[in-house]
Amino acid sequence: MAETETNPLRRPLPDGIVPEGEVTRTENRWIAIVLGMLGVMMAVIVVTGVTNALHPPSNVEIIDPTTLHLGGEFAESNLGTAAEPDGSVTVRLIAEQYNFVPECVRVPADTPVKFRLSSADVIHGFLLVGTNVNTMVVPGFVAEVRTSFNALGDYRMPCHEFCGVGHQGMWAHVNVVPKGRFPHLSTTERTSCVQQ
Amino acid sequence: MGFKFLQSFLTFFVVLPTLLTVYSICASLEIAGRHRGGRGLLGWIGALPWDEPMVLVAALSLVMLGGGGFGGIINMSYAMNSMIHNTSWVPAHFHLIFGGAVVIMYFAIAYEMWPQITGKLLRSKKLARRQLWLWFWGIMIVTIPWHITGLMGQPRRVAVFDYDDPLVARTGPLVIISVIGGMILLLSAILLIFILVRSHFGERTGEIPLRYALAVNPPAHVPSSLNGFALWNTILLVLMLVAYGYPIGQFALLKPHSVPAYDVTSHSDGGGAR
Amino acid sequence: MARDKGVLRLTNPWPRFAWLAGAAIVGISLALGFLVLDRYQQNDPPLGLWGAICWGLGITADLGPAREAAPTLRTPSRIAWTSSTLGQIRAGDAQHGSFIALNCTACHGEGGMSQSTFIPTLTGMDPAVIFKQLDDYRSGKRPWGVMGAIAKALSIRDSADVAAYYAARPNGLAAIAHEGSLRGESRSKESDSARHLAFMGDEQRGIPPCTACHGPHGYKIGAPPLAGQHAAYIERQLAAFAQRLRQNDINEQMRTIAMQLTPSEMHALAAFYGAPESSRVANK
Ligand code: HEC
Ligand code: HEC
Ligand SMILES: [Cu+2]
Repeated sequence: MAETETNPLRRPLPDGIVPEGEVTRTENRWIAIVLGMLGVMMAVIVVTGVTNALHPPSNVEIIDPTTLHLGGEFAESNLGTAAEPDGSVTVRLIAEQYNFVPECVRVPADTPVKFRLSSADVIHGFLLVGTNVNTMVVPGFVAEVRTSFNALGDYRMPCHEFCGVGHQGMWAHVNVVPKGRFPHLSTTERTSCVQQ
Repeated sequence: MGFKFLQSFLTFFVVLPTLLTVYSICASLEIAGRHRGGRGLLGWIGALPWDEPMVLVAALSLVMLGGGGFGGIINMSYAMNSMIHNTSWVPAHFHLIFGGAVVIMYFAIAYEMWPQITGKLLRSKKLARRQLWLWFWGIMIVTIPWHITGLMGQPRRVAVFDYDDPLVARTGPLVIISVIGGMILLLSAILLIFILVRSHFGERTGEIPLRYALAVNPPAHVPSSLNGFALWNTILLVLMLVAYGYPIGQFALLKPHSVPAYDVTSHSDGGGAR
Repeated sequence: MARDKGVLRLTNPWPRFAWLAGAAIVGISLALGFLVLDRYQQNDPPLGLWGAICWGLGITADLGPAREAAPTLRTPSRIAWTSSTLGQIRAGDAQHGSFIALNCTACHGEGGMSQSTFIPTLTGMDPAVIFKQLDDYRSGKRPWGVMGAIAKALSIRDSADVAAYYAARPNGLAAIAHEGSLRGESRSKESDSARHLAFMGDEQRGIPPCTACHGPHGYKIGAPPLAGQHAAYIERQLAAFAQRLRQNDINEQMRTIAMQLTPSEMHALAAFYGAPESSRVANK
């Protein structure tokens, strides 16, 4: 301590620049502002989370990735868009190196949509540009995301998780059509916009 | 998952120490400015020694920290993250925060410490300031368009984009601007090395005593719990266990599945290709 | 500097404050996370309290409508790349396989080098491919009269053995050489649609590069090497995938791709891969 007093670089501060009490007061004020900011932002997150029912992708459901094609929910005849009795639709997809199957998905606008995906090999990503749909597709798990589309048209569906050397070619489409133009499906029918 | 909200909330508290750091840096600068004769609400800013690289960097760094910090809050927000998860927003964010706010500080430290270590003074502070400004603008020009393309849904970790595709084409010009920013960064980095090397082999030498920052109002008493890591590391450990213990432990409870490993770099068995 | 005692002790005001604050943060956010936020599900009525907690813990899974009334099941293949399947393939005995291969020589040629453009060369093909294709013929998943009958006559062990035999034969099929080794030719990469598809794919149509699965950039299990295969055979297979005459590729790997290809692209790709002069990776 004594040494610092004689340090030539330490010129004593003129009185009145930083009185101790003033420092404490601004410090306290700043803490209050910071805590206020924290509170407001957290409130925004909670309120929007509740009112829009937004969640990070959170489904915990397990499935054997190597045998998806042998039967069950992700057998190839069950992929694509299915109509549910309650008027909503469920879209089932497989993400695999280096494709989404089906690679073009058709859904009606202004309708609750549930995407269910699983991976056949490695971690893939699933992003629908311009919507809240954005999740990882982890082998061994079923990823589920819900949304509804209000803008018609084509959406790009890139894989955003590096999945191997062909990753950059892993793009698919979602085609949103007016509700009236969406085919009327029985419960056992599946549809997609893959050109047969 | 309910735990994701806890993780999100805990992550959010990074705002607290960050803003406290911002406070103490600004306050130190203000005290210094007033000490040098600055008066009034903002007069102290003008009174700061702006020709010192370190002072310039403190300001530039704060600007970048501000931008990157707000981006970071979006990254951690429970649900908003799904807008930008794995898009080019994320690399934009960490380049701005790390490549910008942090690395530019390393540069200023280099300008400060190098002469002290080697006894060779900087040949030109002006050039050093130019270099720092270049880095600042480079980072800005790289990351701002990058953030925007992220919001437009451009995924990260993709090697090639086909900008002929009408649905992707909109991001093309922004990416090109980013590339220009990258060139500016390269220029700035070369300039940094040039400045240090030139100063090192230059004529100007001098003894610069090491200076340390001192408290204006030296603390009379610091509670030792605030002055060591024991308490905080214990709390940290407990928080990590609470926040991640169950989600990670759950893997042990679930039936495991695996995809058998298969050599992807060459046909493994037999005398297949390669 | 005065040291206060008991950095971790709760009687000490600072640790007490820190622990209380931490506990409050955890408590508040767990309550918000599990009891409030978790209840609200997009497109569905809010969950009950227990439902929300269980969902938060990842205990209940699908909340959606039941999935009865599934369409009739169609499966591409009986084979799945589980470790037991890979084990069966690895156990293949090339020595024994060479005897079984005598039945194949009439069509697939000496050592698997087919002389007919109609019949695929098997030499140097990955054993997993041969094993899987034989099983698909056997189960009728890949319909082709003669091969179906032949495969039915083979046991699973036999298929693994003959697969090991053909895979070990030298100078057969290969992965196309690395792009780098093609540089010597005139730079027509962009115009040469086959080469572009093979090495770059077409992102706009969602076609990954063929080399990512068929080599040399990467290998997807079950994807045969193509360089050296008969062009006519390759083109026929691509068309069959596109028209869904061949549907035995697991998870529609090849169908998804082939459906995007135009007939002229198929022709160009077949010529590119099948051309005898297409530079091959030297077999060792
Ligand atoms: C009568 C002629 C004939 C005989 C004998 C024959 N094959 Fe074939 N094989 C074919 C033809 C033709 C095809 C192509 C079928 C198609 O296009 O689906 C084929 C296809 C195959 C394939 C699929 C190759 C690929 O690239 O997908 C395998 C594997 C195969 N044969 C193995 C065998 C084995 C092993 C034997 C001997 C046990 C055998 N074949 C005997 C005619 C024959
Ligand atoms: C996602 C990985 C993947 C990509 C990319 C891919 N293929 Fe395939 N391909 C496969 C697999 C797997 C098979 C084997 C299918 C089966 O199990 O029957 C196959 C089979 C084939 C066959 C049949 C070969 C035979 O001997 O029966 C041809 C021909 C073929 N692919 C051509 C191509 C061409 C051309 C491209 C590029 C446009 C391509 N493939 C891209 C995975 C791929
Ligand atoms: Cu992928």
